[in-house]
Amino acid sequence: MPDNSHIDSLVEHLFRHESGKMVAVLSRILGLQNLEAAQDIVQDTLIKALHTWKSGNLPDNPAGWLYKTAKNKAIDLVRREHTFQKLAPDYAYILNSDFALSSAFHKVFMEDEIGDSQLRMIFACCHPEIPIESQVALTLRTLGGLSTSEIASAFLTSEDTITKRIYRAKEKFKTEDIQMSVPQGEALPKRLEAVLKSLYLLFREGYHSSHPDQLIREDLCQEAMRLCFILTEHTLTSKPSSHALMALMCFQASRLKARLDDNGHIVLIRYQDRSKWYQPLINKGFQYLERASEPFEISTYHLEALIASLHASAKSFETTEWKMIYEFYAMLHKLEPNPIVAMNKAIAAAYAIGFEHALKELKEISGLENHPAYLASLGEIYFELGEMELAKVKFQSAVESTDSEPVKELFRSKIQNCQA
Amino acid sequence: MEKFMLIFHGGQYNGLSAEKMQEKMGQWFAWIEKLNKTKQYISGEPLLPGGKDVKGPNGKTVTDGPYTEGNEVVGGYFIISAKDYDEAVTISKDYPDYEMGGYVQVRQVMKMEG
Repeated sequence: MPDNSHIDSLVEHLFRHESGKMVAVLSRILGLQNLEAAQDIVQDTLIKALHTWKSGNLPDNPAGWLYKTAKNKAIDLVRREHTFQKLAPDYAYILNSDFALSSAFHKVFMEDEIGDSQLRMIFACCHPEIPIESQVALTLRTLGGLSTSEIASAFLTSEDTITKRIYRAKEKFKTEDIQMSVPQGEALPKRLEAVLKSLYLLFREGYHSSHPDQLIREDLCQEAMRLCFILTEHTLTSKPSSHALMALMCFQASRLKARLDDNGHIVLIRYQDRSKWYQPLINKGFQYLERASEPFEISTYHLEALIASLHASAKSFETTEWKMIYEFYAMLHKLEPNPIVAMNKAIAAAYAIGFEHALKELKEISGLENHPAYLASLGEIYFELGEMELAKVKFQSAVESTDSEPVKELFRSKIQNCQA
Repeated sequence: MEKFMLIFHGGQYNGLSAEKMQEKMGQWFAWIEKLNKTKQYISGEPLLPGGKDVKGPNGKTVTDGPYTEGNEVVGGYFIISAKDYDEAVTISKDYPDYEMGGYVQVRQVMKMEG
């Protein structure tokens, strides 16, 4: 009888995470122009694992088993296929020697090299030649191990769209001859900025998306955090802004569980049960924030993390340090003058200064006329000012401005309040 | 109790995402665990694809095979114990790979009576 006690030992998302790692490792030798071949090897490896393991015969070290299988498949492929005349430039020499071939693959699959390959892959996926929306899709596909249909579902778009985005990125790998390397020296800051931006968008998509499935959203957030963690751990990329972004993600993620009630309805921060905030993540957030302070630098991630930290440490909505939050939003708005930041600043103003002032700031914003959060914020301020009719109108427009059922539901409940 | 052999035909995992594959494996584990709990799981093995057909007088003709449709290829088997065919069929309903185009052939193992 097979012993099934080890079944639970298969780590959650093991296949997905390991496939992301293996694609990065294989691409390092095969070169990004052969990304597809790397993905095929990984897919075959997983199928073989499924066939071999499903009757309960799990190896002691499942990840090790996967690496070994993928490694052997890759070595076979390079030996067999003459199309592999072109590998990554650093590894071109291995084609001349069978011994060099095996040992090169052996080396990249060693534990301490795997993180390095992932880091190189992050920079390749977020290369400035690749359009930003393709960067995010490609990052999820290659490093996150998500399928195109899973990515499409997470972004509430069609599989076709995602396939095209990834295709465009892969073409860039070929035409721009993009290499898997971590930029150094003067090139690093700009490239790191692009990587952080992409991870930030990935996280935000998970955190703010209106996707009905909470699990998918948490997955996106987790993926962004996992990749950002790699940045914070590596000497070259362990910069204040990397730590600040990680801090921001920790603070935000700590509230994920409190954001929906039992019926899947959205709960605004004001009404969230703060005991549901996940304290260990908040503590992590403060640790990263501390590391982000040296050497001194103020990035948008610093400001957003600071704002999130003030929410995280407030005992209640009312006792939140609104004045400081308002100040930080004002600084953020200077660094990044866009209407969403202006809206958040106005909302903070409502509690830091007063509702009249907030209304004035909100009305000065242009470009968000059909934005659900903007309309709802106006509704909220009118409600607080006792202008029930105006509030109702704004909430009604807010309902019409979104396709998300949980969000519509939230705004409808606001209309109800106006009538009470 | 009688013994039955569940023979698994077909079931392609191509095109499944990594997460789905792991899910699939979880379903197989759960199925085996369920049978283990009721002490009905006896043994089982996966089979590698490919193989040889040995035919003809004295087994002279050896060919690579089986070259059947993907859906027909035997991918593995279980030996289980069940009261009768009905129960063996009910057990087979938990086979996780129907959605992958696979199917189960249920055969009773003959008892050698002394």
